[in-house]
Amino acid sequence: MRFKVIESLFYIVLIVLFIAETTVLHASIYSVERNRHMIIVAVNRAENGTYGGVSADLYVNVACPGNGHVYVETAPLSELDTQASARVAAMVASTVANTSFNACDYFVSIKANTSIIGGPSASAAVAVAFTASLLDIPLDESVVITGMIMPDGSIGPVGGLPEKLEAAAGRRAKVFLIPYGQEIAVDYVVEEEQGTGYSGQVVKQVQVNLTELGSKLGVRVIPVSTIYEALEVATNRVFRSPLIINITDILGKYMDYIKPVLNKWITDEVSDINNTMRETEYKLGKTSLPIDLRDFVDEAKNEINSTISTAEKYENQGLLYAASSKYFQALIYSKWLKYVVELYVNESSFNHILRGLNDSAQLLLELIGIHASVESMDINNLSVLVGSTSRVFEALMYLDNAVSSWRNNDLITTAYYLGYAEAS
Amino acid sequence: MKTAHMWMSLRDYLKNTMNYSITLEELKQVALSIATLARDTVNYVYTLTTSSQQDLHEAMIWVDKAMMEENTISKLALAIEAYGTAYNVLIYSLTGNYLNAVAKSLLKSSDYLITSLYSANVLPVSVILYRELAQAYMDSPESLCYALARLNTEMFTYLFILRLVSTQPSTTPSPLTQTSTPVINQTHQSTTTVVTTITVTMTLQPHNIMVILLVTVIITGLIAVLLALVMLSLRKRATQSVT
Repeated sequence: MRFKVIESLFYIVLIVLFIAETTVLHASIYSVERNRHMIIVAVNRAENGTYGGVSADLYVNVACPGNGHVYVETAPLSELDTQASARVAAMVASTVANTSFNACDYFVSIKANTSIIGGPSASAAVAVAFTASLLDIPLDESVVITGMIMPDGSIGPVGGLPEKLEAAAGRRAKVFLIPYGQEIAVDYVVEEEQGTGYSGQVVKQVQVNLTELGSKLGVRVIPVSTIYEALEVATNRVFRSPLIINITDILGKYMDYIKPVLNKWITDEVSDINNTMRETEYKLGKTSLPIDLRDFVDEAKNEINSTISTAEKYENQGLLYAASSKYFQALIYSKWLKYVVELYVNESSFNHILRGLNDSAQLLLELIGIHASVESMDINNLSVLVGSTSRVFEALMYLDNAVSSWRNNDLITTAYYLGYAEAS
Repeated sequence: MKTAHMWMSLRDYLKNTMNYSITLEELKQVALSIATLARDTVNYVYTLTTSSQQDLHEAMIWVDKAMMEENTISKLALAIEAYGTAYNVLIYSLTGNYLNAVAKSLLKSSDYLITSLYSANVLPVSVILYRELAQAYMDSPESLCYALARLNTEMFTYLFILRLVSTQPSTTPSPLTQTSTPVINQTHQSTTTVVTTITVTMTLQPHNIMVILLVTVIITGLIAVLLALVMLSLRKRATQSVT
């Protein structure tokens, strides 16, 4: 009997120990945990098919050190875009807060009393709340924001703004932040219509001035274009956006430095366009093309001339990279034209052209690889190598497309892909 | 491969410019993180757009290639390409009616991002060139959005690199990096694939919890052995006292 009591005690002690250890160890995973709450608004669809605004509660938690995981809980369950947008919101927040994304874990919990339509409109609020948590700044909970967070921190447009504004007013919000450019919203109302011998419902489009609607409801409506502006309002200006540098001056100095290179690029491109066109004209003089190809040649020549005109305009304005980009476009058209004629005259040349371009791409990748195999590299060097590699991969992708088009006997599209690959 | 060669020519010219430096080891981590970032962005855009667009399909191909690529520079280049392409799809598919407003917002973001990079003494040449391109498109919102989306993703990537390198990054790859991005051929099929990918992501346990459980089991086991020894000795004593 006494032994059985000891045995029972043994099991109880084991269970208590297990729970205690898990709790203690769990508490020690994160050294910093910060929570923030915001009211969010959404749109829901009633049984009769009409839409109305509803509010929900957003709770976020940022816990560090972490591994860059983002956990989302929604009640009721939401759509996938809520999860995906929470991840982008966390990435944007870490950039604005000047912290490493992988240094923390991010938790989002959305609780609503009614079903809401999924969408990215809560993502701007999530980004604001995450940033405030990371920076440990208090949030003014009378500020409500709606908007789609974009991967660079811009706030993109969303729908259902009049309904959302009413929902925000219902939660006694004082300020409602909306995406820039959406001050005038378009709403749809169902109206009864009676005509001679018929009656029915029609949906009419009406414009709603959100600022006016807001003042009727006692809510100040403020358009914001970036998360920086939203944070300033939502934190009562505790958060201050960085002072923007004089970009024109800074870029002007850099552009002056690389001007000789860009001038050389333009000279090379112009010379390549001229050589390609001369070669093509020579072949055209010796070939009799069918009418559809003749039409194509005429259109292509017009396109080349008009693109060159735009390039020259940019060059005259001193916008040398923009000019070079336009010459590049003209170069693609000229190569396209060249390959149309070449493939028409000699179909068997396709494999030879393809092999030549593929070999050039592989050689260039090897060269980039050699330059990249260093202990450390400058960001400028990295940006050049990345820029160059992107163009080689683009060329390789177009060569794959050229093979598919050639198999489909589509000469014009094949020639386009070959031309693009050569110019890339 | 004309422009690729032209870009390489910039390398010699910028040889002596002072800028932020990154080690090859750091670059490997960065490439993996940016590829994951691009994959997440592509998935984000995919969940928001209803149509299967050619550009998004292209972005998905870039991401898949980036995830599989072993060469660091190639991985990074493919990831940035995917990221930029996906952002463009997002802009055109969801903001079509508000292009003017979106262009202004992108320009504002661009100013903040340039300021952040400049303050950190990092202004890659690509940023300068793409910003000039945007300048040329100021009176065409559609082209301006295209140029700014490319520029901003490029700058966001470099800021992401800076944060990763300047603070101690985690050496443990995210479980997200172990899943692959769906390549779409048909809209309905791809929807299913995306659902699967995200479900897997959300059900994966963070490694911290596994470590806690392991430590808990070990400690509890040790205590159990100790208690068992005590019990055995008590039982022995009880038996002896009975005899």
